[in-house]
Amino acid sequence: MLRPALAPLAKSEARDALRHPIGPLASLVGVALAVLALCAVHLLSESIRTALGAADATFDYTHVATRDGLLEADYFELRRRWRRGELDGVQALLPVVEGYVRLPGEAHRLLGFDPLASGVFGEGDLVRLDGMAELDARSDDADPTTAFLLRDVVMAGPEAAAAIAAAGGHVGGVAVETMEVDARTLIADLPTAQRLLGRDGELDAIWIRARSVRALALDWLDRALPGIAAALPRHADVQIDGYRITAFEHRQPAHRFADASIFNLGVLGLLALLMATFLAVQASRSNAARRRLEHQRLLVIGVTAAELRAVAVLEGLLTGLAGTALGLALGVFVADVLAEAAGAPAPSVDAWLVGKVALCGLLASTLAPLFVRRATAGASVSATMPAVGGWRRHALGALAVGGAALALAEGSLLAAFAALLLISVAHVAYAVPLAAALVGRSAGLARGLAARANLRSAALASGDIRLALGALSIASAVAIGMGLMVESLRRDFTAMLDTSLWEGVYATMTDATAVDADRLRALPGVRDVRRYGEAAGWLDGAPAALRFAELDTVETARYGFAGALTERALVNEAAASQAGAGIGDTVSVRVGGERFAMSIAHVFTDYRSVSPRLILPLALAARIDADIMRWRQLTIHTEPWATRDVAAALGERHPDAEVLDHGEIRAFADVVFDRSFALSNSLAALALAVAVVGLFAALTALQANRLREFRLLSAIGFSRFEAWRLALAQTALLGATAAVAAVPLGLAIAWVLCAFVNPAAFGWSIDLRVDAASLLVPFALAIGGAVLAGALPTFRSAFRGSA
Amino acid sequence: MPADGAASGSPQTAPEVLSLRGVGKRFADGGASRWVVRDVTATIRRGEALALCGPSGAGKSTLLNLMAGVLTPEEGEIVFSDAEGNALSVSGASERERTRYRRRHLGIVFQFFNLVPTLTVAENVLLPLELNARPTAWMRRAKTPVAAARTEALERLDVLGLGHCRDRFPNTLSGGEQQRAALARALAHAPSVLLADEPTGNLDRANADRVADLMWRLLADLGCALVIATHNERAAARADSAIELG
Repeated sequence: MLRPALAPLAKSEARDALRHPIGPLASLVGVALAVLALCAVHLLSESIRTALGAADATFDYTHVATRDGLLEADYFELRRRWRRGELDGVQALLPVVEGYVRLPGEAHRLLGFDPLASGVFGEGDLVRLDGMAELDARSDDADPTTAFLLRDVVMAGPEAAAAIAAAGGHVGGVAVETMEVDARTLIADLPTAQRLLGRDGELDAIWIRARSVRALALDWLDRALPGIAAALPRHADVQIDGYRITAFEHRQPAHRFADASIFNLGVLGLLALLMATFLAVQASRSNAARRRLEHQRLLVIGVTAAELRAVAVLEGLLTGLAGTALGLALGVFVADVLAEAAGAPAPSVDAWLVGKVALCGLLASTLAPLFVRRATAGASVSATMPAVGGWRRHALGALAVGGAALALAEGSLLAAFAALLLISVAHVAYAVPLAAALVGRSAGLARGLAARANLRSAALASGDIRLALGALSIASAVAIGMGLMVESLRRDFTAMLDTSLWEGVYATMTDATAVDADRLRALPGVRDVRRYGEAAGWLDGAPAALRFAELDTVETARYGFAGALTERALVNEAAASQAGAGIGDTVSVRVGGERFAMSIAHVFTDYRSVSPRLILPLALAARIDADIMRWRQLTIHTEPWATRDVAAALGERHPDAEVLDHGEIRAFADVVFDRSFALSNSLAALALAVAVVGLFAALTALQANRLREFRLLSAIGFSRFEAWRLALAQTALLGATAAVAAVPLGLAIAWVLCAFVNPAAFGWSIDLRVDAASLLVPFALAIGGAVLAGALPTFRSAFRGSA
Repeated sequence: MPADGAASGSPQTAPEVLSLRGVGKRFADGGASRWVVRDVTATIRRGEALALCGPSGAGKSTLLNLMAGVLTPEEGEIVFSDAEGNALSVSGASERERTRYRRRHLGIVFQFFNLVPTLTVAENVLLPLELNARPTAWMRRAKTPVAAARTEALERLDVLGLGHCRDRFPNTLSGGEQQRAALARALAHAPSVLLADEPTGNLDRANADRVADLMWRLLADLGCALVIATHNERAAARADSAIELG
């Protein structure tokens, strides 16, 4: 029961905060940085999703049902079964035919479906058409869009419509209208599309909208933690006899890639929030320790513990509010800048975002006082070295390690991150206290008594500021883990480039068949000239990119396969994963009206693409409709001394060609690689910065308690500078303790990222390699950060204590 | 008791160790400043004891800090003379010189918090010796004067009844044991002057008497001068001279 004592207590708390502002200010900065990270990640994810969403038109359908030789009759049969209630959980069915229509200069994907099917168009239409008002007046149908689509017409996004208009204004004799939606796919009603594709009565798939409470819950969860949908199966499995059914999310690698990237960033944002929470708890602990006597006196005169706690929570609330407002403003600014730099749509702030970050910020700053008061009420200085054991800690550690093992066995992205969290718990429970205990135990080895006292003092201090040290250690470990993963990926990526990039010239042009290959071969230093055919096709009913090449031993070596191929295919990891196939398995490939079964000769690592890609023998290209095939790629294998001249000669003869030599491609790839990890590295650095701010606050409180110790040292004969040097060495020692403890956790994080997170998120396998720089840089940053955090507090106490 | 700024007591036969001439110190107090100590003149000779008496806030600790060179006076001069007759103006010396002066020539005992909590009793006692030793000699651990002083300092723990506490940390000792250990630490490097700030103020009577007896005995053995700030009339009465402050 709170009494009027709250007002004077609040006044006292406010005055104390003004006298000792470091703790509250550090909490405020920590919350602001964490909210900044959360806010920027959220806004960026919204921006990326908006861009991706515009490119697809799935009308909330969730699954795709396919089978070989699918006809309209199959759809009617399936619809009858559905109406009889035989298809459990299915809400709607949509017959679909897909293909490519050739227009001068470019092939366009055409999607044909039944516009009268449930939910394709409705109120608040995503498809708004130019000239709608005029059509509204002429149509009796309640839905003008549907009425419009039922006419013999193809709808196109503004860009495609402009290209078609420039090429004559129609597709195969069918008029084209412009949609406001910027979709890259052309849309037509089913009969029109079948006619344009030459596939009357045929279907490619029947889209299914499944009823899923889980999907709804995931949508909410996804707004709380963007990208988590990539980590969880979104839809329940749908089973229909005689059909292969896959969820849409498995057919949209770009979405999966974006979701996984966003989720990774979101987790890093949460890391910053975790650091901020540690910081707030540490600041609260330090405050409680500093005012312990004062609080005890207040309790003696009748103030209740609840009142003390309420005042502390009030302070946390105000700090959290201020930090959240600051972080929100900074986050919006940063997201704006990043979106503009990436060419993504400008993000917009909504009530959901404000509510989410406010909740996170306030929880981080107000939960701490609730826990801390009781925990530190009896704390006192003791020279007893910190212990590692204790059955509670052993039990916690065992539970964490066991849980992590189970999560890794499960293998999904979410489980992998859960494992990382559990390993971090074990780390805080064991590694940091163990490192601190070792520092304390090693004191006897120090020759000088001052060094010995410093080692023991560091071990003791590590107990007082264990949360701040734990935060620094985890942030360093994440930096180590990320660094090792990125460098391992870089090595694999470089190895892939080494294998796949010949010394030579790579050209992209409108029509590579127009190039006179014999004349190019006659140029000095040219060893070989190759053309590549490309087509968009389907692998087991899902979109895939097909490349046709002469698969001799030289070409297959680029994909890490030894030997020539005439009938079998090379597929990338994404394709193998999508088809659920491996080496020796046969997959069904369709391109245009042609279908063929291909045996897989080799699965290659393909860091350049998250989409399914197949490399097929050149002989198959002859079976493909010429309208669908594109011959745009040309590669000229050269002697090293001739590369530049050959590139110049090709550029001169074909001004429309984009000509790059292998060095330029490699440089471009390196730039893209670094850019890809710039944001995640920035978030890891932000978490480290929050941890350093937390350590600064903790050391400020700790050093303030050492004034008498410095006075004693001064009396014994230490100069102020010597005392400061001693204290600074101690903070470096604390940083080193956190950094040493971070190494095993960092290695574990790197291993989980390489062996579990990346395969689950992106379908990439990475061989983990440990390099010194990735270990040493975060190590040095942790020590440097600790010294930086300790410089001012130790200076103040050393000089004040000596005065 | 003598009046402010005057010292009285024993015959002036031993050489001077510390002399104060018209020493004054003031502190800022809000917008104004307040003299805490003013016009103090005194001479302390080798083997003598000087008591600083007065109520709380009279400036006893401030005067001790001035003598220790932790604070510098606004007026007057404090001069220290070593056994060879070399004089050092403590009040005019640089920070570095004052630090060296404390390290070599002074032993200091406070009322509270006399020991480094992260060093054992023996390590606390040896700390001043380490500070005074040349690093190379310390690292060689050769039979140097330092080694002899180490032995002597550790043996002094036995004299003080702390032989069994050598390897214990300060927080495991009683108040009396801590003050005796502090005395051993303050005298380990055979200082010229021992400055004691209410050394028995935190102890019960029995322990206070025991610590005081040991202190006087050791001072006599070492020929060390003592300046003691105290409320204890018995302790003040044992001194050769006294200054009444406040």
